[in-house]
Amino acid sequence: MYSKKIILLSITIILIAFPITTFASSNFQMGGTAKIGLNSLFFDDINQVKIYDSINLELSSDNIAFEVNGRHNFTDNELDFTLKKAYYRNDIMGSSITIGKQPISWSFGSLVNTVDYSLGAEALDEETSAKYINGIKIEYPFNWYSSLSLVREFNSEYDYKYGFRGRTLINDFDVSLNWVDQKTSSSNLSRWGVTLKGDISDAGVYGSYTHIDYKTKGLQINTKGYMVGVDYSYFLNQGYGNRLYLQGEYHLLEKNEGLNVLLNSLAGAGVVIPPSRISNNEKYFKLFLSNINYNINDFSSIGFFTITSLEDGSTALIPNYRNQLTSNTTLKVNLSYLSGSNDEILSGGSNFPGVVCNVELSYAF
Amino acid sequence: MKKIITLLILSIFILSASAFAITAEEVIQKRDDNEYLQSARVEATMVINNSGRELEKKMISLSEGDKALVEFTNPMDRGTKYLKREDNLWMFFPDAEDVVKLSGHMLERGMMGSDFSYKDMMESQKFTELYKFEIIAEEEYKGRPCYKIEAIKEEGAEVSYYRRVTWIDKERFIGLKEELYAESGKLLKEVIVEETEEIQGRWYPIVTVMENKLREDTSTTFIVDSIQFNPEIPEDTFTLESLQ
Repeated sequence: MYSKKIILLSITIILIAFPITTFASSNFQMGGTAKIGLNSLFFDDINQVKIYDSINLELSSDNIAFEVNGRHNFTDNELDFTLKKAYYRNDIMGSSITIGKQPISWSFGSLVNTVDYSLGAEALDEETSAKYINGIKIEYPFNWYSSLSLVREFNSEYDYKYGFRGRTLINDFDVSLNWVDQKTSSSNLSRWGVTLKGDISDAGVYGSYTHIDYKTKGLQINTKGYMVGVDYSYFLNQGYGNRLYLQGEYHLLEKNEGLNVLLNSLAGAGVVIPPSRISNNEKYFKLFLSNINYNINDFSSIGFFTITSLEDGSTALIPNYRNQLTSNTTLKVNLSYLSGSNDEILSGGSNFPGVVCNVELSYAF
Repeated sequence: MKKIITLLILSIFILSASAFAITAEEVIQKRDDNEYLQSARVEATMVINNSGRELEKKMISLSEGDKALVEFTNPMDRGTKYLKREDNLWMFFPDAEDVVKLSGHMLERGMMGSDFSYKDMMESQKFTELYKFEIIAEEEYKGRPCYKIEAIKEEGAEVSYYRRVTWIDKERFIGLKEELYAESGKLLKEVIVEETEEIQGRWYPIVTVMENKLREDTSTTFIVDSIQFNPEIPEDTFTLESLQ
């Protein structure tokens, strides 16, 4: 109820402010993307094939942004609308204040980020709804590379949800301290962590530490997660050919009731791991992720993304192909295959599709 | 009379000798005076060509010293921004409205799929600080008299190309053609300036084509749609805050 009021208030502010700022601003932009695609899910017993089309409309000026996505499913004849952005932003006393529906993302270049504001929001260029929130963000910059930002989210799921991020550069390493506190009627979840990213010689290196405090009905749990990663790229053909990009990261996640929260961060990569499949044999759950990308030419690339559970060796294999057909048209093909068998950690079943295939043609305007 | 003719010939000889006595460094300095941008605002179009297929990207860039901010405005990449300060490169993702620091090795990568690397596009140091130069010939290029100058990287300088051979217009002091070589002697890229224009008293390349000689049938054309030298740039332009 509270959230609905905030949405209505946001939209009202946008509607009032938009004509004023648009006429005053020289930086007015509008455009969008139209898509048509086919999505196939292969479960153990059934297959689901969906054909969809969608349209994303964007309207923005210096202070205002509005973005809405409409998606039509041909198979079920369903129509969904998602308001992605509807916010007003202004600078007051050296701080940038953003009010309304807005994306909050605390990415730093990792494949999976357990210290993000919303877990499951890692895919920066994907339409994951988790990163769009109703709320207020205040950002205060100290200098060109350091800032503090505070987020207050208004969501009926929580009594409250706050986020805080401090970011700076130390010896050319991007360092951030993140903290999220959310309370529901039955529990209180507090997450904080540190991330860093920089270069050692020719390789990009990064890492994070995550700490979770989870309190519910007299139960208090602490969970820790550690991650290190590296990325590197080089030209084939003795250094003069097309570029090959390599990235790998290793996650060590403490096994207890808080692990489920950390595993939510994999949702952004399109993978769900049910905690019931994870044994209690060792103290930590270990994951290795890799990403290889090769540019075939100026227009097309192939990639191969993997997630491997080091507990039982089961792996999610996620190859992808991208071809920019014209300046505005792109073809994307993504495949996801869970190689595990029976109840292995990364395996399909009657509830989880073992194979997912998505073919999508998009047009930007 | 004989004395006057001798004096005249001598004067012409001295004058011609002094005209050719310009050093490679002076030629490069004069070229830098034209082409090096201490600060500028550029609106440009980049056309990527590969085997008959073309992609067009539009951008607005602001630069000041070793700082540069580039925003793409074509529909496919609208809102994508890059900030370079020294050797640090940051990218703004418009959908997530998030800023991520890119790894250093990404600076060598072709910007948005073009033959221009991020370093090519955002190189901020004057060539005179990075290379040692020598005039190796004087010859015509497309009907314009040119100095043909060889540049070899200074020891310890961090540059994308070990050797450059450049044809510089003798009258306008603008580069008309450049060959970029690896240390092995292999020709990596060729830059051809197809159109130049005198803007605010400076000759500047308006249409430039870069060919990657290691790949077949590929080139990138960089067209300057408008340029403003030494514009007033707000102090907080090259910050992570303004990238958002």
